[in-house]
Amino acid sequence: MTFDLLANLSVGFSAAFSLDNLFYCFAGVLLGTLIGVLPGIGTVATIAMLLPVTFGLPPVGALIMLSGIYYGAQYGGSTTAILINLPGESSSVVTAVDGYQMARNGRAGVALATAAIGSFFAGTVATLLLALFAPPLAAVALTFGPAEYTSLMALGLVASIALASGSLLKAFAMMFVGLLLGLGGQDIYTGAQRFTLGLVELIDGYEFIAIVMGMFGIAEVIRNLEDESSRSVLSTKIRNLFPSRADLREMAAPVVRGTALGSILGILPGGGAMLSSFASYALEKKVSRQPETFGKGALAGVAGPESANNAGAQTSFIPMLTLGIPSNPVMALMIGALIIQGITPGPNVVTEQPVLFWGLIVSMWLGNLMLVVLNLPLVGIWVKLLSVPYHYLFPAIVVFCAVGVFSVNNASFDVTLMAIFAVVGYVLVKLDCEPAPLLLGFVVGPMLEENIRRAMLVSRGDPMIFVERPISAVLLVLAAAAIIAVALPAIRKGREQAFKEA
Amino acid sequence: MNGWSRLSDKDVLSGAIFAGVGVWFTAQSMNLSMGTTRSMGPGYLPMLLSVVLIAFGLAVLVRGLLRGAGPITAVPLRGLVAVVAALLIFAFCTRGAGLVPTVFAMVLVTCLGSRRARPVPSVILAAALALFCMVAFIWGLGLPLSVIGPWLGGY
Repeated sequence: MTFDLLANLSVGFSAAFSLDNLFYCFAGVLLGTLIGVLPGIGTVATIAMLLPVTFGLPPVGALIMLSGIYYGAQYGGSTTAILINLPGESSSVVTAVDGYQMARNGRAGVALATAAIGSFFAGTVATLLLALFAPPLAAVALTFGPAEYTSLMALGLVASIALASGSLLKAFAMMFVGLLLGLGGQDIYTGAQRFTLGLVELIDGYEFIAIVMGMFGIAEVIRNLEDESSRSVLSTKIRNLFPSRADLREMAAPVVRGTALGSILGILPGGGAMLSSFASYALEKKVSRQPETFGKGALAGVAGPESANNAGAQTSFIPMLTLGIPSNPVMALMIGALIIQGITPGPNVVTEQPVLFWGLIVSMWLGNLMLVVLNLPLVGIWVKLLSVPYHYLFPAIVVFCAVGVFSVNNASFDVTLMAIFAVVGYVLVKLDCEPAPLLLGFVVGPMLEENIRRAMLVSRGDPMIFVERPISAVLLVLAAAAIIAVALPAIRKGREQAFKEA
Repeated sequence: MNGWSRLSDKDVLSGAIFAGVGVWFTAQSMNLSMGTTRSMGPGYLPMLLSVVLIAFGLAVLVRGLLRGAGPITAVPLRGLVAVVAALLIFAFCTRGAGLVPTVFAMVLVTCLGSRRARPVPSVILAAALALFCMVAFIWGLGLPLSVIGPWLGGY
């Protein structure tokens, strides 16, 4: 086992340390941070905008670059949160609370360094976990038949909704809209056209990138235009980047706790970075000897959540790589990227694409290292970027989104589609409907249908197959339990509390 | 609460939208063959899913009528219209007008969406972005678009 791991890791090291892949990793981290640091652009929007850049690369390089973009974007989001109290994404909302206060107390440098160090530690541990647990999990998943897969996807979808914030009913409705949209285009078995409105452009289905960029990128831009009140960037020069020995001692325990919490929550569907950071903040506040300092610049309030969100971001790759199931919108994008590269996500990836799989794992760690090395010296540049006024930034975002979506298929139609989904996404957000479940449904929809159809063929039309097979039955019971748990008044209150805590 | 404010309730509106979308999907699924449970046709699952969607939509709508989730806040049209118009300019003009004039026009239109953008900087920004797009996307990444399209005497 250990020998296997070492052998596998060496495959990974030789892949990740090839000159090309090192460059892609570096470029990913740099570009991700560069875009992620711009206020008002979240992680998903960043990845979606940069996705077309990776199309021309070989699969390993593309995935390595994308994950680099992911960490970079996340770290960039934290930088924005700390320096201008404007979290670019949900997972750094809590970082903004104490990080910004630290910055106002003249400790911006320490806050940024804490975030980087915590993220690096968490990334290292979570990468090891990924290397240890992903292969056995994939081996289990290989024994799954269509019935088990169907139930697993049902569990994944339900759980990701249960763990997200907001109204359950609306989240379910959004998920079903996503599932239906995902089925659009030509049916693989019969060639029948579904929901295409007779348009040739829709025969291959609704373009995933157009939907993501519309709902997450452009809709976000429109929302930011609602309120153009100026944001104050801290003008103080950043000094004392390096935390003192006392700071290091103070952050050690929160970093370890955040890493543990994030690693566990990241594996759960719907968990990932956001839930991890919220949970970690709540935990740190609970165990702290001076809970009254939270909200006023507590170091633990930055160290814990930042470690947790990075650990969660990392371990959320486990279900994506081993089961082919996205647990959050970012992973949905990763699956979309894999499919574009001609790789079917699922348990086969580990055995059939060892170079991809292990190369990705090693480069994740490498990406985290680069993040530290890159960001601490470049903080000055990021701060400069923050002072670009939004009204000169957003036209550029709109242009890049348009060119990006166009370049996927060289299709003008996709740009129109993006515009439509931007309006849809904007209206839905105005109505308090989270767009994430729609995206997950969209990605899972075709896989779900294929497995249901196959399961029903196997069982000769008997739906009992889903409960007669033990693994499938257990998964469905878990899904049911998740729904019931969230619907119970007591837990529901706790769930709302957890999201309001910060 | 009078009738109108009920109609602008967030839950009532979103419920109605979901139910409406569900009805559209159901109608579309009607034209597809359902198949049997054993061998599902292309319409089987869409039909099932869209009926469930209608149910969820109605549930949200009823909840809104009973409890109310608060009215929708005003939708400032300026930003929305400008951004969407810019995207449509790109969608319908890049092939004909070429990338550079299209990006130039689209940036100017987008800037109209912001109250804070000033004319001169906007024009400079538009020119800079158009130039950048030409260098990065056509020369650099080989995007199959012309710099100046046939509408403006290019090729």
